[in-house]
Amino acid sequence: MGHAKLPGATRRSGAVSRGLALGAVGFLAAGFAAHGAQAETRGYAVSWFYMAAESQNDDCPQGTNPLSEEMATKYMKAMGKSDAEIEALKKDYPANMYGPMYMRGRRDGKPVNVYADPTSQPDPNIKTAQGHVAYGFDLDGKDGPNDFVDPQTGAKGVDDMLYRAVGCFITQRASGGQRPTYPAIQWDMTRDQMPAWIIEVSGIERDAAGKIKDGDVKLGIYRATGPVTRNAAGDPQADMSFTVDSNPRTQNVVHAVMKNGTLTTDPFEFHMIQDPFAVTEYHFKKTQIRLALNDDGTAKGVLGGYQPWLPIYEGFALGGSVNELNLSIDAPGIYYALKKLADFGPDASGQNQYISSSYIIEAVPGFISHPNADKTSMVSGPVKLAATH
Amino acid sequence: MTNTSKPSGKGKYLRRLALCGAIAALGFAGAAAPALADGDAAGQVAMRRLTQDQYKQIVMDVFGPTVTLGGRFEPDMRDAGLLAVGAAQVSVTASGFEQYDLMARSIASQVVDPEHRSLLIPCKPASDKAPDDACAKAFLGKVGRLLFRRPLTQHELDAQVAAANAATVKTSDFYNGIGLALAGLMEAPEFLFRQERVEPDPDHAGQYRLDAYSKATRLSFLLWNAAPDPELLASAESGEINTASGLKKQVDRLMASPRLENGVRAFFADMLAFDGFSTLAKDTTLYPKFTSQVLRDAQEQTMRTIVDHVMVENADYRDLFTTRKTYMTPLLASIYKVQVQFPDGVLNPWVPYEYPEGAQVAGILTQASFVGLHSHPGRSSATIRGKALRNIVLCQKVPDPPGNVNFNLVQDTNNPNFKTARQRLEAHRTAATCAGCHKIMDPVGLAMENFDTIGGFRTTENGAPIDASGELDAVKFTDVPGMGKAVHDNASTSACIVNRVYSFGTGHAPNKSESQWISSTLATDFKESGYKYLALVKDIATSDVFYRAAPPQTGALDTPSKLASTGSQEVQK
Repeated sequence: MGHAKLPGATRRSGAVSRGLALGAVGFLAAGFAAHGAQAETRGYAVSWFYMAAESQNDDCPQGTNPLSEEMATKYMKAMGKSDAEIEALKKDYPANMYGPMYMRGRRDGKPVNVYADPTSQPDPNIKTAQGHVAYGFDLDGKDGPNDFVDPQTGAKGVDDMLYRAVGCFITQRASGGQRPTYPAIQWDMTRDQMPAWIIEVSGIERDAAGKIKDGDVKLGIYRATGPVTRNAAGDPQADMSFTVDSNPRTQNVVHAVMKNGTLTTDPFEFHMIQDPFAVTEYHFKKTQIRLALNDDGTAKGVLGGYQPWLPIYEGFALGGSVNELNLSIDAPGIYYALKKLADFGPDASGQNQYISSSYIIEAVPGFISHPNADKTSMVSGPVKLAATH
Repeated sequence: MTNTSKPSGKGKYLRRLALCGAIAALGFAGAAAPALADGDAAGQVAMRRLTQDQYKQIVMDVFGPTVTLGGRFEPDMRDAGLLAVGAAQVSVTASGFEQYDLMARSIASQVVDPEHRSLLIPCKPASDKAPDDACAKAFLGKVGRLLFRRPLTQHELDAQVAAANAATVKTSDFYNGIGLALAGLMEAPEFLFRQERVEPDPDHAGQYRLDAYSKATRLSFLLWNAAPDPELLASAESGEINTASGLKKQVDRLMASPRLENGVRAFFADMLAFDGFSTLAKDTTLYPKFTSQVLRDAQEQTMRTIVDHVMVENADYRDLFTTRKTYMTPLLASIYKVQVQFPDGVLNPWVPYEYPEGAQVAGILTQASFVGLHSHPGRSSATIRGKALRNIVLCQKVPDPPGNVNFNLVQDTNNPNFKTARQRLEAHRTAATCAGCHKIMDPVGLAMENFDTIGGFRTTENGAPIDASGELDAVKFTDVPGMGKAVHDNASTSACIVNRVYSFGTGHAPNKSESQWISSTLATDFKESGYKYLALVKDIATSDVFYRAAPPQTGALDTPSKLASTGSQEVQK
C-alpha cells in the first residue's frame, strides 16, 4: 500500500475551483477568504436532462392523444381484426398486444416492423400542442405564429416545435417544475450506465457579500469518463469527482454572460453523446443555454436549439410497442409530426431536417478534472491534480 | 434402551460450556491474588470465546476459502474498552449454541463433500461405507490439532474416532461419520474458547507461565488474530517457543508475514469500536449521501489509513491524529467534498489522498468512521464525540449521564436562540448535574463540529458560523488541526495504546503488577522507539510478562486431560 504524495488542491492560472472551494473553504480555513477577488470555477454533474414542457390547460384544445389501449384498438381495427379478436388481444393488456402492434406496418400487403419503417402505416395525424407557452429561446430572431412565450423570462418568439409535436401525449406533459414522465424515465434509465454529463462554469466573480457579479463567464459542457452515482434517495450524489472525457464529440466550450446569477450563452453548436435508448448523439445548432447557479450549489436551466428530428423519432421508436403501450405514445405518429413541424435546415427537397427544441437541465455540484496529457498515469491510480479546476 | 436421566447430546455440550464459564471464573479468581512485586508482573489466564472474525479466519485457514459460513454469531461484549477483554467474560447461550451447531454441521458437510474431500482429507478409507480407524484418526487428529490449537489427547482422539465410527455404521457412509465427528470438534468448548493453561515457570521459582501451546496461541492471536499455523504449533510441540531465541524466531516470522495486517486491523477495529457500525443508522432524508457503501468505505478508509501509517510507513502512532494522508473512494470524496481523480473502469476504486497543508482535518479523528460512528442519526454530537475520544483514544472513563437529564434543549436543533451545538450545550451545561462531565467531553468534542453526522465538512450550522476552538486537559486550541495536535501531544494517548495492545493480547485489563511493568518498561520502550506501533507489538510479543500467569487456584483444571476427564465426569453426574 504505497502512499503517493499528492499536491493537494491546486489552482490553475488564477482560477479557483468553486467545487474545490465548497470543500476547501473549510478545509483550507482562512485560505479562501483572502482570494475572494479571484475568479471562481464551479463544477456540476447533470442530474436530469429532459424535453422541456410547461403544459397549459388549453394547449390541446381537442384533448390529448388517446391512451394506449384506445390507440391499440384503433390500429387493430385498421388491420382488419374483428372485435372478438381485439378483445382477445386485450386480455392481460398489454402483454398480448406487443406483437401485433410491432408488425402493424404494411408493405405490399405484408406485415413489416412499423418502428423500423414508420411510413409503412398512414399518418395518424396525432394531436399537436396549440398553446403559446414553452421554455426556450428565440432561435431564428422572429416572433412567428407558431412561436411561444417563455414562462420564466417572458421572452417572445421562443422556438420549440418539438413541444408542438409531442406536447399532447399525456406522458410528455408537465408543468410547475415537474418532469414529464416519458423523458424523465428515459433519462433515469440511462444515467446509471451512461458517462455523466458535466458542466464547468469558469470566470465567476463575486462581490464583497458573496453574490455572483454580472459579467462574462465561460461555460464548458463535457461528458465524464464515469457515470453519476445515486444517493440513498435515488438521486445523483452531489460533490462527486469526475474526469472529462477527451473525446472531442463531447467537448463544448462557449462564452456566456452572467446576469443576476443566471448565465446565458452565445449561440453555439452543441455535441454530446448520450445513450441509444434516448438519443444516441445530440447535435444542436444555434444552441443557447440559460443556467441559474443556485446558492445551494445546484444549477437549473434550459438548453434550446435545432436538432435533427430523425434521431428524436428513433429514440421514441427504439422501445417499440413496449414504449407505445406502456407510455401511451404513437411512434409513427410522432415521426410524421416531427417531419411536418421541422423548422430548420432544409435538404435539397426542401424538407427541413432539424426541429427547434428545448430541454431542461438540472445539475448537482461536482468536481471536474481534465485529463492529464499522459493518460497512462491515470491507470496506476495515484492522483494527479495538476489539471484540477 | 434410552436412559431418560442421561443428558441429551446438546445438554452435554451445554453443560461443558457452563463448565467453561466456571473455569473462566476460576481464572479471574486467580487474578485477585495478592499483587506480585514490581518486576514480577503476571496476569491472570483467560478463557476467551472466539470472536466472529477469529472463527471465520480459523475456518478459512484450516479448510480454505471455498468453505462458506452461514448462521449468526452471538454478540460480542466490550469490557475495559475492548471486545478482546469482553470475550473472556462471555459464555454461550442455548440459542447461540444452536447457531454454532448449525455452522459446525454446515462446515463439516462441505469439508467431507465430494468436491472437498480429496483435498482436505489426507487419506482414503478402505471402504466408503465402513469405519476406518486409521483414516479417521489421521484426519481428526490433524484437523483437531489446528482447531484446538494443540494436539488432541489420546482420550479426545479415541472419543472422536469412536463417534465417527458409530455414525459411519449407522449411515453406512464413512464421510458422514467423520463429518459428524468434525462438527463435534467445532462445537467443543476447546475450539470455541481459547483456553489458556499454565505451568510452573522453570526460570522463576514459584511463578507460572503459559504452557507452550497457550503461548503460541496468545502470540498468534496478538499478531495475526488467527490460530497458530502448523509451524508455530511445531515450535510449541518441540518446546522451542519457550526459549528466547525460539520465541524471537517465531515473532519475527509472524511479523514478517502479510498476515500481520490482519492483526493490525483486528486490534484497531476493536479499539475504535468498529463493531458499532453493525447497528449504525443515519437519517437518509436529511443525509441522502449516506449509503451502505459509504458505511463500508468509512471503516475501510480508517483501516487503510492506519495500516499505511503504522505498517507501511512505520510512523509515529500519535501522528494518526494529525496526519493529512488517507485514502478515498468516490463516495467518500463526495462526503468530504474533496476533488480526487479516480482511475477509469474500476469499481469503487481506492486512491491515496493527502489533504493540502492547513486543511481542517485531524487524522482519523475527523474521518467519517469516527465522527459518523459517534453521532446521532440526524445530527452530530459534540458530547458523544468528546466522550468517545476520551474513552477510546485516551483510555479515560467518562461516567454515563444521570437518568433524569432533560435533553430537550440539546436535541432542538431548530431553536433560533441556539443555532449551533456549542450554544445548545452551553445552555445545557447550566444544570449543575450535567456540567461536571460535559466539561470533560464538550470542549474537545466541539472541535469536531465542523463535521456533520456523516462526516461531511461544514462551516456553519443553521446559518451560524461554527467555532471549532476547544480545550483538552488544559491545552487550548483554535481549530481542528489544533485539536489533533492536542491529542497527539497528550500523554494519555501513548499510554492508552500501550495499555490497549497489552490487554488485547492477554484478554484482560492489566492488574496492578502488570500496570507497573507497562508504565515503567513498556511505555518507556514505546517512547524510545519513536512511538512505533510495530515496535510496541514486538516488545510485548517477545516479553516474558506477556506469557506469565498468576498462580492457578487450587483445583484449577490445568491440563487438557484433566479438563477432558473432568468434563466427562461432569456430564456423567
